[in-house]
This record gives sequence, C-alpha cells and structure tokens, in this order.
Amino acid sequence: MLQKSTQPIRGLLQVLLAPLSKVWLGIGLLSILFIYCSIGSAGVPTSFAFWEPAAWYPLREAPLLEMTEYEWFNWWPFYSLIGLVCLNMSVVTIRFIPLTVLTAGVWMIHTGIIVLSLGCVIYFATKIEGDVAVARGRLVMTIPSGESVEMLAMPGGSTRVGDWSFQIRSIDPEWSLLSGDDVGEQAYAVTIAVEGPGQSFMRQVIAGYPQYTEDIVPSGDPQQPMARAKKLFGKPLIDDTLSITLEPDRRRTFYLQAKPSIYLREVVVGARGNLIPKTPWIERPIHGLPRFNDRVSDPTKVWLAAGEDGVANEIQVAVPSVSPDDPLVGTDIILSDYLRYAILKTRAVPSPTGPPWASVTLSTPDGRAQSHEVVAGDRVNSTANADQLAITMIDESIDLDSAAVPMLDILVPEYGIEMSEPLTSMSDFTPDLAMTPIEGTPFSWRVQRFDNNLLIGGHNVSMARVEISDGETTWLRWVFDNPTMNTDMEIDGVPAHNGNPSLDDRIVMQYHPPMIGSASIELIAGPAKDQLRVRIALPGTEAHIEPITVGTPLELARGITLTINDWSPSVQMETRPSIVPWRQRDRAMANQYSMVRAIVPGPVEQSAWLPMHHYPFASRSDAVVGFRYQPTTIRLADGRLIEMMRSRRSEELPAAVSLDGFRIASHVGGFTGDISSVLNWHSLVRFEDEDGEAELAEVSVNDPKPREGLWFFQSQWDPPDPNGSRGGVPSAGRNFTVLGIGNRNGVWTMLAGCILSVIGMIYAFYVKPMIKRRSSLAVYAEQAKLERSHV
Amino acid sequence: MRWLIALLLFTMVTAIAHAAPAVVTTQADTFYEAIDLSPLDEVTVWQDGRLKSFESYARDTMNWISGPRRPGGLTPRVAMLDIMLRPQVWVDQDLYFVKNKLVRVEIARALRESVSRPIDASDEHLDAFIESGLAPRAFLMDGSVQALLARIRTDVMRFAKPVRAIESALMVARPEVIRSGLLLIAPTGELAETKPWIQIDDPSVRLTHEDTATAWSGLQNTWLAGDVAGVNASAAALAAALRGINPDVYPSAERLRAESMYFQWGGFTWGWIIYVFAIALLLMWVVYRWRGAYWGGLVLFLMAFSLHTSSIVMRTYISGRWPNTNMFEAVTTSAFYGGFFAIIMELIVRRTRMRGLFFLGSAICSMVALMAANLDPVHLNPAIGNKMPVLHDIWLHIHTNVIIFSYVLIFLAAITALLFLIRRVSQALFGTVDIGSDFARAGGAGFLMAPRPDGTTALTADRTTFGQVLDGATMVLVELSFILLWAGLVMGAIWADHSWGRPWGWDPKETFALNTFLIFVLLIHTRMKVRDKGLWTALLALIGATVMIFNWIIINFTISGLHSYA
Repeated sequence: MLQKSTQPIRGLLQVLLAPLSKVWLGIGLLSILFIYCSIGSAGVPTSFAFWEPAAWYPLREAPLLEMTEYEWFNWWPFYSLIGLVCLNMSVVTIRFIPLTVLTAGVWMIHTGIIVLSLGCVIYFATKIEGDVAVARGRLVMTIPSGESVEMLAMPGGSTRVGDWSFQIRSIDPEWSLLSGDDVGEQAYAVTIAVEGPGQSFMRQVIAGYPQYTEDIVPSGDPQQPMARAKKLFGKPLIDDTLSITLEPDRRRTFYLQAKPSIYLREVVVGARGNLIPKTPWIERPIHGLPRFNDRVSDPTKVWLAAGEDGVANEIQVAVPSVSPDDPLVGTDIILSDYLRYAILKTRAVPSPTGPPWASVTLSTPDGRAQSHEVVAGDRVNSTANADQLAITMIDESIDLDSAAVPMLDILVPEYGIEMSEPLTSMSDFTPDLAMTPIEGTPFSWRVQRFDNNLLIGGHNVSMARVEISDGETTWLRWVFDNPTMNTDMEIDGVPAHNGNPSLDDRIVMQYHPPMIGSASIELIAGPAKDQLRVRIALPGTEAHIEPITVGTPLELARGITLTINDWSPSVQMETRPSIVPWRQRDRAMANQYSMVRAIVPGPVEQSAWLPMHHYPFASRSDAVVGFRYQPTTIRLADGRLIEMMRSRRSEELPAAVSLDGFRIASHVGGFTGDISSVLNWHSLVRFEDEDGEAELAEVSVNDPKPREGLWFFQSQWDPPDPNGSRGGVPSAGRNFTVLGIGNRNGVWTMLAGCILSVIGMIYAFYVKPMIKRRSSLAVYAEQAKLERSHV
Repeated sequence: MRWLIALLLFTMVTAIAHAAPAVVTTQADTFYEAIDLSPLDEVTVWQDGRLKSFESYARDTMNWISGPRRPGGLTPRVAMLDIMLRPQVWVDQDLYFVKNKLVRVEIARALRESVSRPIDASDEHLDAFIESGLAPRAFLMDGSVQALLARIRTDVMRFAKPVRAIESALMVARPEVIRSGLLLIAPTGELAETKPWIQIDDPSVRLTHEDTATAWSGLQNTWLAGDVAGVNASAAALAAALRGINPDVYPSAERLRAESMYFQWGGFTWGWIIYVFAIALLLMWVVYRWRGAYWGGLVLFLMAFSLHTSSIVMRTYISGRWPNTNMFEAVTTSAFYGGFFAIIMELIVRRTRMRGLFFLGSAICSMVALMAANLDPVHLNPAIGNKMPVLHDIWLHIHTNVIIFSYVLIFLAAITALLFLIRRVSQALFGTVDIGSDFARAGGAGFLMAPRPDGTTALTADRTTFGQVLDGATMVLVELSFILLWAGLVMGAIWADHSWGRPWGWDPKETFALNTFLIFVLLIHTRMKVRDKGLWTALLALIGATVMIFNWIIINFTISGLHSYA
C-alpha cells in the first residue's frame, strides 16, 4: 500500500515532516494513547488482586492531578496526542498513499478519523453539562393583610408569614377528583395544615384545578373528626381572605457538573430569631479546589481516620468576589482545607475543666457487643440511654449512700419554713402513700413520681410531680431542678390559667436529682483523680459499687460484662469534621460528603466548614426533598451576619422551565414504588420565554427535548419514600424531576467522520480485495490468452 | 496414536463434565420424591413488574437463600415451599449460602473462637462450610459472627455486599417473607393490567376466590401432613383455580410451562458439555486432519449449537424480547452469534484448508460462555427480569448486538491467534520458522479471494502453510470485528446522545471499548511494518481479546460506570 514518495520535500519542511512521515510514529502514538486512556479510565492496578475494586488506583485522582474523567480527556496531553496522530496520519496518507481506486478506503478512514477528531474538539471544548431540579409546584400563601410567602410543595414543608403558619400535611401525586366534570381524573394534590389567628384547618389545593381548592375543618364528630367545609358550611373555603395557590416552580438556572462555587448573602435576625436574607445568593466561582484528596491545614482541627499521619498539607485557594452585589466585595475568601469524605462529629477532648467522660463496651456471653460513650449531664453527646448507663463525678464531700437519693427543697416563706426532704417513695407506685404535713403550716405534700435526666428542648432536666395541699385545695406542681420551670396544675393534670404557667408562691420548691444512681449502671469518677467505680443497680439486685479499671471486663450479671475502653475525669466536647476511612466510603456518593474550610479574612478572622450542596436553594422552604440545605453562618467583626453555601456554578437557561406533570409508565401490575416496576418516566415540561411564550414538551428516558441549543433529558426522579428516610416525612414521591441539561456542538461533524470511516473500512477490507481479484483475474486471463496465442 | 489421543481426550472431558455441576445433594425423602408439583408450572407469580412462572420465582427465591447450591438436593420450588411451611425442619440445615470465601473463613474462625460456639459447629462442619459456603442459621446468627459481620461491613468496598447478601438470605428464608412474595392472585375488573396482584394469603381471597383459598389451604395442610396424594391434588386444583380468576391478564400456560422447562432442562448446561466433546474432536481434525474427527466434531458442534439456539429461542419466547439486556444474556447470546457466524464461514470455506477452524473457535468460545453462565450464576444471573427503562430503545437491539457480535469475533480471532502462537512455539522448539512467509499475504478477506494463475486461491493451494491459514483466519475475524466494533461504538454514541444527552462521556466501559479498537488499529498498522507479520498479528489479536475481556469482566464488576448493568 505504501509507496515511495515522489514529492521531493526540502529544507525546513523536510526536517519537520520527516518524523511525521513514519508509520512507526503513529504506532507509537497509538500505543501511548492506549496507555493514556487506560490509566485515565480504570486507573493503575496496585496489587495482583485486580478483580478487587480496592486494587485500582485512579491515577488522574492523584494529588497533583485531581482530575475528573472529563478533565483527563480534555487535558493538553490528550489533545496533543490526538493532534499528533492526526498530523502523522495526514502526512503519511498524503505522502505515501496516492489516492487511487484501491486506496480510496484508507483515505476515507483517515479522513473520517480526522473529521471525527475535529468534531470531538468542538464538542468537548464547548461542552456544558448540568442539571436542575424542578418541583411539581410552588405554594403561594397570601394572608388577609396582603403579605405572602412561598414554599415548594415538598413533604413536611412548612413556613410562616405574619401570624399564620402553614405546614404541608400530605401530598398525593395521584389524587382522584371526587366531584365536578373531571370526576375520576387524577391530579397532584397538596393538603396544607393552616394555623391562623383563632382558626385551624386544612386546605387542599390541586394542580391544574384551582376551582376545586377546599378546606377541611374539624367537625366535632368523633366518628369523622374532619369534614369538608362545603359540607359543614355550604362553601368550600371557610376564609376567602386567605389565598393558597399552587403555582409552577419556574427555574431559570441550572447547575454545572464538577464546577464548584461558593454562594454568599447577608442575613439579619428576624422577629422569631430566624435568619432573613437581605439579598439573594451571590455566586463566587471556585478555581483550583481539590476533588479527590484531603488537604488539611491543621490536623488538630479534624478527626483523623485511624492510620492517617496527620501531616498538614494545606491549600490556599483564593475565591475572589465577581459581583458588585457581593456582601464581601473585594475580600477574597480563602479555602484552606478540603475533605473528600467527612461528616461532622462531636467527640470528647481531655480538658482541665468539664464533665467526666467514658467510652465503654457492654458484651453478652454469645459475643454481641455494644459500645457507648457517656458524658456526665450531656444527653446529646451520650450514646447510651441515660436511665441505663451514665457517668457522674463526685468529690470528697459526697456520701455515696445519701447521694443516690433525690431531694426536694421546700420553702414556706410565710411560716419561715425551709427544709430539704429525701424522696424515697412515689404515689404512682405506692398509691396509699400519705400526704406529708409541713409542721406549723396548713400545707402537706407527697410525690407522685420523679424523673431524672429528661431531654426536653435540647436541655437535660429532672423533675418531680408533687401533690400539694393547703388544707382546702389540692393541686399538682411540676417541680424541676431549674425552679424557673416549675408549673402548677389542676390535680388531674390540666394546666391552670388556660395553659399559662403560674405558681402559688405561698410555697416554693426545688427538685434535686440524685447525685448518683439515676441510671442502672452508673460510672462514678472521683473523688481521687484517677478513681473510677461503677454503681450497679440492676432490677432484682441490691445496688452495689465495684471498682473498675480500663480494659478489664467487669461482670454485671449473667455473663454480661462492662469494659471501660477509655475515660477522662474532665473533657470538653468538640465538633470537627471526621474523615471517613477510605474503605468505608461509598463511591456512589462522589463528593456529596466533601467539606471545605473557608476563611473570611478581616480584623477578626472567621472560618467555617462548608458541606457540599447539590443545589444552592434559597431557603429551606425552597429546598427539594432529599437534597441538603445547610447554609453556614458567620458573624463578621462589624456585626454583620453572612451566610455561605458551597454548591455548583450556575448557568442561565434559555427559557424558564417548569414541570406541568410527571407520569410513570409501568410494567404489568402497575407502579409499585419500586424502580423495577417502572417502564419509563415522563416529565411534562413547560418552557416559558421572557415574553411569556410557552411551549410544552414531554421529556422521557431516551427522548430528550432540545431548546435553543440545549438538550433537556430525564435524569432523576423522586421515588416513593414510605419510611421518610430522606426528609423525615413519609412521601409518595413524584414531587419533582431532575432534568439533565447539556449542549452538543460538533455532534454532526463527529457523526460525519464516523460514517465516512466505517464506509472506508468496508471499502478497504471487502471492496478493494474484490477489485484486486477482478483485475488479477483479468491479468491472468490476458496472460493465458497470450500464452495460448504463443502456442 | 489417534485413538489413544481420542481416548485420553474423551476421558478428560468426561471427567470435567462430571465434576462440573456444583450441586450439593443429599438423599431426599420419599415425600419429596413422590410429590408432583408440575401443575404449578402453569402458575404465575407477579414479581418486580413481571409475571414469571412459579418455578422461576422459586429459583430466584432460593438463589437469594442458597445461591447456586441445592440444599437437601431438593428442587427449588419444593425447597421454597418446605422452608415456608415447615421452617422447623430447616433450622439446623445447611441452608444459607455465603459466597465470599474470605468471609466464610472469617466466620468459621469467629465460631471456633466463640465462647458460645454452637453445638453443631464442629471443626468438620466448619471445614465443610468453608468448602461449600452453606451454613445453618445458628452459625450466622451467633453473636460473635454477628459482631464480625457488623465490623467488616464498614469496609464498604470489600465486604458491604457479601454482608448484605448474608442478611438478605437470612431474611428471605423467613416464612412470612416468602409468603409475602406469593402474589398469585390476578387483579380483576377494568384496567386489570395496571392493578397490583394480590398475595394469596390476603384475607380478601377467601371471600372473593373461595376455590383458590381452599386449594391453597389444602396444599398447605396436606404438605404438613405428608399426604402425597393430597399435595398433588391440591397443586392441580390450585393451578386451575388461579388460572381461572382472570384469564385475560394471565400469561398463557404454554409460556409459563416453557419458562419452567427453560430453567429445569438446563439447555446451556448440556450445551457446554457437548461443546467440550466437539472441541476435542475438532482439535484433532485441525491438528491431524483426521476426517472422522471433523465429521464427529461437526455433528457434536451442531448438536450443542442446537441446544444453545433452543435456549436462546426459548428465552426470547419467555421474556418477549431478544436476550441481550444483562450480563448472562449478553454472554450467551454473544456466543450464539459466534456459532451462527462459524456456520456461515464454514459454508464459505468448506472446500479450503480453513475448514473446521471456525467451528473449533466457536465451540471453544461457546463452551467458555455457557460454562461461565452455568457455574457462576452469582455474576451471570440467569433470572429473567424486566429491562431497565433506559434500555427500552431501538438502539439496544442495534448497538448491543453489533458490539457483542464484534466481541465474539474478537474472541474467535484470539483462538486462531493462539493456535498460531502454539504452532510457532513448537516450530521454534522442534523445527524451523520462515517468518518471511508465515502469514497471509492478502490479509483476511483478500486472502479468501486472491486468485492464483492456476485458478486456485491461497486457501486451496498445496503450498499454503498452516501458519498462513491460521493467520488468514485471524485476519478474516479481525477485519470484520474491527468494522463492527467501530460501528458499534458509533451506534452506542448515537444512543447515548439521545439517552444521556452526550454521545461520549469517557465512561470506563466506553473507554475500554475504544481501547480494544485501538489495539486492532495497532494490529493493522503494525502488520504493515513488521517482517514477522503472523507473529505480531497473533500477539496483538490476543492482547485485543484480553482488553475486551477485561472490559467485560473487570470494568463491569469492579470499576463501576454508566454501563454497569450491561
């Protein structure tokens, strides 16, 4: 096929073209290309067990590269390789393969590959790819004063405006209309619990059927506690001045893959202590942030995974402001740390002051084991049930026998009585317990029951329910360890004074929980510095105290042992990102658990860990269920509050997109909620131009729809979540769709190149031999004819 | 000599064939042997959006519990019903399959060191567990084993999946779970196709379908009583009653019977065993040119291919689609394409020295494919399911079939290349090598067509060496696979463009398909430049096949990507 060149090439051109005229160069380049593709895609094996996922090290993710697959194959070495291959192919073809009938196939193949490469360069150089989540609807609530508030129709969603509060009680994506001309039709219906001044009811709104909006109100009938307002009052809405409508969720931006950004906005504290944004999110693109490798500026600021060296290798990624509306315009945010896979964890750190802490393991004879951490007086950070396992610090003044008994302080100012009584009996367990008179006063009392270490509103409280009599009336008092919380009630437990707390100040009480003994197993630290004992008060056994040391199992009962793994007489609880060990990471999570530490320079430097957000939602009521909304707030030296969120870069859509409907086509047996029953997902999408022109399009798997150079394709959906594992509220799903969005410049060039090369291959391998055969046969026939004529 | 070799080969393949089925069998009870559940072949169970045969459902269920093993030597449907109805009988039985051998070893170690070691966890029993993977419930529920599993499951990459599989096995074997899956009652009324199927234990069944409920109760009661005649009669009554509830939505009895038969007869199993014999004979033909071996090999090949084809056709009939949507189907269908191609090629080259080579290559390829499908059902799951939504597209049929066809051609090329290399090595060791002429001068198709002045072609000429024949065959396969692989990649890109919104995403599977193509580009260009064309062609054909297999196995099962379902 190759022939000697008949074109004399001289001078510089000859020098340049000489190496490019070698087929061997092409073979070498293709070999390098093969290696480049292999290590960029699969990585490199690090052990002979190449069938194990852990054996493959993704080289492009190495600390100095930090590249996605897309970036690896859009890097200059790759383009250089492709360019050289094309150049080499062109030179060899032009110089050594004259275009003839026999070589047309090779020419077509090589031309096709070059055209394809050009198409690829256009495609990948201009590629934009991202996605947007679009909800089925956005609820707009307008209260009688004219104020309004919005929230996405998402399970469990709630919001407030004025004196009104709204909470989504249920969403039915397939609500069957019960009346009217459309009876039997199915539609997306949202039921909202409404709490307003003096009224409480539920309102149902139905997408596409505003005329069927109606209220459901308490009926007073225990058989059917809720009834339609229309049935009770003859009209569908009990309050026409309150408007709730289900509007389209119009999205005007989408978010790019693998393009990180920080979003900032200034917030102010609202009347209810909530943070109110003063501005929308202002975006700052991030460049040069690692993706795959942890970078830690100070290992003491994170919880390291076991075996990690804890060597500092900080980054200094400056993120400047790009918008004049930026609340920190002119101030670069510095990213100093990046953690690929971490979660915030609170752990105990030894400290000169603070409560005692212990890490323990309870083991059963058959080998089962449970590990717990306990912190004195801290139920949030203690992993064990406080009634069963706790830790207490005592000093020399504590008598262990009396410290196990709760006390009730009683003060009767009018009679100058001040006493402290041990509580040993409860009327809940001893119904005939007599009232104890307070000598010299008309008062008497008895304790119904006491409870220790209750977690109420995030606080640890202990309380006793005390019956008090002044000789004429008897009432109930909830007596807390914090006396400001004390409340009097009717004896049957009905709050006095319409629920407002009140106290009969003729008698004052305070409850003191036992210093020890509130749990069945209680670790007692002290009074000596390293002294640790355990008080065992298991049901059916006599309470007793045993010494215990770290690492030595202590039998509690019937082979159940308690082992102290570690303990400290005083700790402080610190919350830091905990780096998840590499083998415990779920690779499907990509960078969803990544965190960066952002430093805001200033007179008082502020820093915060920013988790990754898939979308920068404007507020919790704007967030799509299943996606994180966790902005981080910092207070600047000038007193301003700034919220920050790390997410992805945004890009304008050519038209606002909203979701008119979402349909699931199913296999036989209907849609069960399981993906295996799904045949296809169909999003009925509405594009709306700025001039109000609307166009409907149905996007489904394998059927994307184009719009002004972008293709919209079905990417994700909202599956049913009967256990509420994503948003804490059970959901029938189908509340939103995720549309993938991308451009595809150069695709037709690529296709033309591919088709040309395929034709060339067929020609070279099958047509050419036939032509050669025919010409050979003709030559042989001619030769035979000549030979015959000679004969 | 020929007979001696034939005898040796026969003995070898017979031994392989006997050793192959990995089935743990024990003596079955008379009751189990006597009952006749064949009427249930016409019963369907709704599962995951598909109406599958009772047999198919039972196999899936038992696959969760016992993997490829057959506890007690029972058929899956007998075992499943017995576990559901008489769970107490199975308490101490080796029922639960642990696939991962490292996990088995660790479980055995934990049990040996456990202070509460179960009574029957003898060293012999634990050794047997390590070997077979089957354990009784007590082993897996032991506290030390549970602690072990809780610990190792945090190693997500290595052990999360095996631990999940153990938990699934323990859960699926619970009678109430098996019962909850028996969605046997067809919906009735309007739009019944879209209504959910009803569990046979649902209280409403007794009210609405009394005869069905009675037959089901009868089956359970007679089973518990060990009444063979009662079980047989109840099974027949149950099948008839279920089919009568709503015949409009019920699958045809023929289709259900075919599905049951498909899983029972093991066409693929017999297929690979016969392919082994065919390989032995065809190899003798290729090496010794023994005509009897050729005809014997041909007959066996055609027999195996018939079984293979029948299985493919049955699967198509049962599932209502061409089988190319999961790994099992891709592997078996790909091998089928190889057989089909071999027959056509053998017709073309029947009077040449290439005769038998394509049969041999196809037989080896199909044997490997069917053997893998038969012996590794965990990775190549034969269960028939619905297609994923993304696969509902015409390009599935075009792109996937073209790609898997190119893959089988690459495999066939690797076989002729391997024969070439073996010949070359033996020549180097025991004779002389003429590297200047030990290749097909006109490439592949050209080699078949190029005429000579005497009217012959290279393939029929006496002076043509066996090396040239092997190299020519390799090139025939390489050329075709080259075009098909490239065309398949292009078609995949077209599909991806309208499915995922981008024609090419550098997904590992895409990239390694491209890598396979790159190897063949290298082959074609290297062949032009080197002197020992035959050797380099063979080496690169083998490397190309290795990259292709790497793509199919390692990339699919180890390195995840968008194509991980294929």
